[in-house]
Amino acid sequence: MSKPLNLVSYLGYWAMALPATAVVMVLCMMVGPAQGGGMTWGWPGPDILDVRILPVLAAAIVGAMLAGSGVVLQSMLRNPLADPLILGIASGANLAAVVWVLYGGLLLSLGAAHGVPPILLPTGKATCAAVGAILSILLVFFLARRRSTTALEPVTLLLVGIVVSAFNGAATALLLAISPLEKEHEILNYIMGYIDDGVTRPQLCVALIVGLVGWLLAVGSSHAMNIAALSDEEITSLGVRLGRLRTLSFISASIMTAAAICLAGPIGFVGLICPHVCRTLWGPDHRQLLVTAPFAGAIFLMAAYAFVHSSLGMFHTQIPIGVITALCGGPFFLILLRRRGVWDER
Amino acid sequence: MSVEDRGQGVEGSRGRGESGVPATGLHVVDVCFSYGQRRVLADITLSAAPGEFLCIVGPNGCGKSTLLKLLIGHLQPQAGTISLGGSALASLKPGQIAQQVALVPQSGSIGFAYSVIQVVLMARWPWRAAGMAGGLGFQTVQDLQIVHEALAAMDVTHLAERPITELSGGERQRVLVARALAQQTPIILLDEPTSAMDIRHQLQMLELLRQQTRRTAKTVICVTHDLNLAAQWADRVILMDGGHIAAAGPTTTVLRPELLEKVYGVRVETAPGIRFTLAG
Repeated sequence: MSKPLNLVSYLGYWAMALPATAVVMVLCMMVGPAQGGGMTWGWPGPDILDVRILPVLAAAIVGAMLAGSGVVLQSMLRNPLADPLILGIASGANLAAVVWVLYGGLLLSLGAAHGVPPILLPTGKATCAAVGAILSILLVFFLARRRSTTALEPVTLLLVGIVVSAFNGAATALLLAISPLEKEHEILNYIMGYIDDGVTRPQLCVALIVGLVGWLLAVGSSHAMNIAALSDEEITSLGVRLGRLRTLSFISASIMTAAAICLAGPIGFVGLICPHVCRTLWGPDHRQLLVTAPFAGAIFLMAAYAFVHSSLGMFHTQIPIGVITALCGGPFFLILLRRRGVWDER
Repeated sequence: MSVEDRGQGVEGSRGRGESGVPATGLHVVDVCFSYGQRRVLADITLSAAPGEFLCIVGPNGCGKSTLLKLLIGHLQPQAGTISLGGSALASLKPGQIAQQVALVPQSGSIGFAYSVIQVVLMARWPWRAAGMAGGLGFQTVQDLQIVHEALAAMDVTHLAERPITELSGGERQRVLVARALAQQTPIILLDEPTSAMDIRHQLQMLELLRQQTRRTAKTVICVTHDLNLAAQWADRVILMDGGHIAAAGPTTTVLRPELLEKVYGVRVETAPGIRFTLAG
């Protein structure tokens, strides 16, 4: 843990993470709800791709992206509470998705009436969420930039993110309050974060590719991210371009978060907890964290999905996966706060 | 009003680069800096030659730390020029500056529990290889050797694998000095480096820095509140007051009671009492 990372130990982390994730993935694909209630174990029939493989893959991608984004944000904001959902990205996606659920039909017919080409119109909740996430990110980025300094300031970014989140949240709550009852369930389900067997192959591919781009960006500057934990003067004096590093990190974290949210809605706590656990277990080097945390996130969310999915037989309805991650994550985080081993008391 | 400091020290005899700037050392000419409307530094002119041990002293808020931030390129002056080894600081990339100037910050806030050796290894960032391998930046055998030498020089080898967050203030300062040494720069800037160090490590560090100035012609610029330290170790002292240079020159001409009284607003005298220094 305290030894400096070298190529051998770096590859060692890959050699540990890949098989572990593969094993958990196969196990999670084998679990499912039984018809009469309870759980079954084994392979289902010909619909295995849609019912088991695609949702579990989606869970893996979402978990990995949220955890990767958490690693980047905690480093950039120098804040243990940083979480992919904190920068207003998730709330923007929420708001846009709710607008779609409530007024999507109206939007489409309006667009058609005014001759807007169909390609410019959103085609679903996920696309809408993506647009909302991107608009929200851009808003936060431009509000947080200061004319006097070249670099984004962590505190400003955090404050702007929280304000934008609160605003988006209030707008979402307003829409929810005036929405008809039959749509309320759909909206609530989305807001808690969900993964279901409605995931399609193109959706998965897009999320995977976009997420990988974000992750590669992060890996490319992971060495510099280690230094980013120091004070601004020290970062500059060691020759790191602070402004470029912060902008790159912000873009990379945003891309990973957006990829995850479009696939599954805003699932909390994965991006907060996985980086913490990996840091405690294997040390704070970001080159290692950007390997271990995404895999840990994938494992965590696949397990949560397996539980949620197989509980279908018990509750006759699927629990939103975000409920499970928060139920496990809340107590876990409290324990972490009380032990305080990971962070310096400042 | 500033006291002209040009032409002092050793650099006068050395060659001059393009545009009349001396090819070696650090030169600050007529630099002004303000935070918004508040003027922090006005017409600062000073130079530091290779092999010089310089101390900057002055009351709180006189602009010492701002000056250091300008010297590492973290802040840009609104007027005036800073040149480093013959080229303007503004024209150098951050990586190039970091190959020439190292900074020992006042306390250094480190949020993550990096081990000491990881912190010192960060000094090798400006010297990393370019390309794909450089992105992940795994250290070479040579990097590790340099780092271990720096750790040994600052007497922190035994702490190498301890988390930096668990160290005492003085130990942490020694680690930060070791990091600056491992950066292998011709110029080292220190901001209150001894404030938490015990006397043994203070004296050892200052002696080490002095040796570096003598043997390898490093430039050491040390911001300090400790006038006794400045009196004892500096080749030259720069006394700052309200964003100006109030006096600059050899210790004996700057650290005079009447000048200090004017700048600090307190009456002082050279005490005949006990003073400790390295024996031998």
